[in-house]
Amino acid sequence: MEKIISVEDLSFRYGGNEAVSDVSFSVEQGDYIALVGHNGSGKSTLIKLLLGILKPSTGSIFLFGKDLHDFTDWNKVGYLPQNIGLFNPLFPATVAEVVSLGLISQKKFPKRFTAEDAKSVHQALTQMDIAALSNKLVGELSGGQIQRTLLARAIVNQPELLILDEPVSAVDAETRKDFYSYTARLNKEKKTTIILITHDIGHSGGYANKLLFLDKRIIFYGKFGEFCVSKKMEEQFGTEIQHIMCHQH
Amino acid sequence: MDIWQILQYGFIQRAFITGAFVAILCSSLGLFLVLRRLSLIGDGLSHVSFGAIAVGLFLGFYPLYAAIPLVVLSSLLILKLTQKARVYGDAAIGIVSSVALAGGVILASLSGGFNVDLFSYLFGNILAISEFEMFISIALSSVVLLVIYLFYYELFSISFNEELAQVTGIKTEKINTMLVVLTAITVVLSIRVVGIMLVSSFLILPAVTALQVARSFKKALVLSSVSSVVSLIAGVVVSFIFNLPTGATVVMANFILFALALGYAKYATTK
Repeated sequence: MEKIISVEDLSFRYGGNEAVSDVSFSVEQGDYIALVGHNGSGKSTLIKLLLGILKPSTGSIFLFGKDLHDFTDWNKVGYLPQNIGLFNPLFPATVAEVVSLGLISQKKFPKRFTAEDAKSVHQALTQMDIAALSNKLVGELSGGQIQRTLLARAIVNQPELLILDEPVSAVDAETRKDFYSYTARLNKEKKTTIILITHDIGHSGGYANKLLFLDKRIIFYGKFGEFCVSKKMEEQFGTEIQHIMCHQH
Repeated sequence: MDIWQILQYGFIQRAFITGAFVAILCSSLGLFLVLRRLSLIGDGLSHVSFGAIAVGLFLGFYPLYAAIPLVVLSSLLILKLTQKARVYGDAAIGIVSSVALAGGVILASLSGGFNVDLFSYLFGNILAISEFEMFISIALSSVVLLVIYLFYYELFSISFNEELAQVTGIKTEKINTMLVVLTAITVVLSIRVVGIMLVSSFLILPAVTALQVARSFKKALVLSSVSSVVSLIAGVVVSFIFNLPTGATVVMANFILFALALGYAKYATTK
């Protein structure tokens, strides 16, 4: 199996505080990893380090076998960020324009879109069931519609690695269910490697094959089933909590 | 006097041609600046250009020759202060612009003789633009507009969200630097049209006008340029007929279009 991500001794300090400490792990092609941990455990920081948005204090990161410093194949990566509320509601872009931005990584200078790209955008919008919103401004969308738009943007380039930061935190139950089903299909049918940050450990266990439990350091990384029978995790969380985590899905 | 008679004057033709190029340039760049919440960098750099023009006048250069490199350097200094010295962006703009302004005032005082020239730079004098200035403005405006055209998707992407842009392989630091340098050149080019005191309105007003009514990013860029050129033409004609200061009249025309767009947007949402 090809190693998609390889992280060695990764640490990140922010203003004297350690946000991520001595983290090492690897992700193989076709993995669907639920990245869990309480608020402030460093989940989003770890993702931003993997994507080169933050620079590590120490350690190394390899994406698709290449050192992150030299990595240029960004068309292999799709990313859905956490805070949809941070988007400017007055931004004058249509849903189709925002989704097309996901294709930029495939383009050489000067970047220009073709009729084929318009087809890819339409296909991604159809997959997310928002083709009818194509010409609507992003500022006029509901939380769920924004989330679908940004997911369409993340998958429009058919990435091999999809990183999703708390994608269902601001959406209704139906959108959440559709979302989990869709990512599970992507993972099974297209072998897309997925890292999903979530608080919803119980539900994610129904889709993810691995669990990465982070509390600045890695508390657990392995198959979901192993987490449920791990004596170490039983000691960490207590029998009852471990049972609840493992039997919600 | 009708509009055709007015258009026969060479100085009016130069004003329209130079003004139209600078208007399209300011409004295009202004849209990216407004969306990135960097509007005030135009204001700060216009204050820097006061100091830079004073240096030119003091040393006996053509002032805009001194202004372009000095304002570009100052824009890079603002970026460095923000990135490396942990100074907030607005504070960095404040530091650099006030130091440059203070330097300009000291030079003006030391020379004691170029107050009249400085006044024309402070408030602009589009009707006094020479052929040479017109060609310089057209050439530099064309270069900046070409750069905006070539990097359109990079600029669009970082304006929407810098983190997302970074994950599509865009070198966001380089694009930010380019945006600030283009702004510096644009501010200097706009000084002869609207003057140091009013240049930021030329960057901001057409963009916020377009944002009220545009239904896509491309339309916002086009509407911003159309609004800016219409305001320029209206401002020049009205100022000529009623003998008003041209730069200020252009700004007021921009504001009237903004108020109309705002009213239309409110009407459209309540309809």
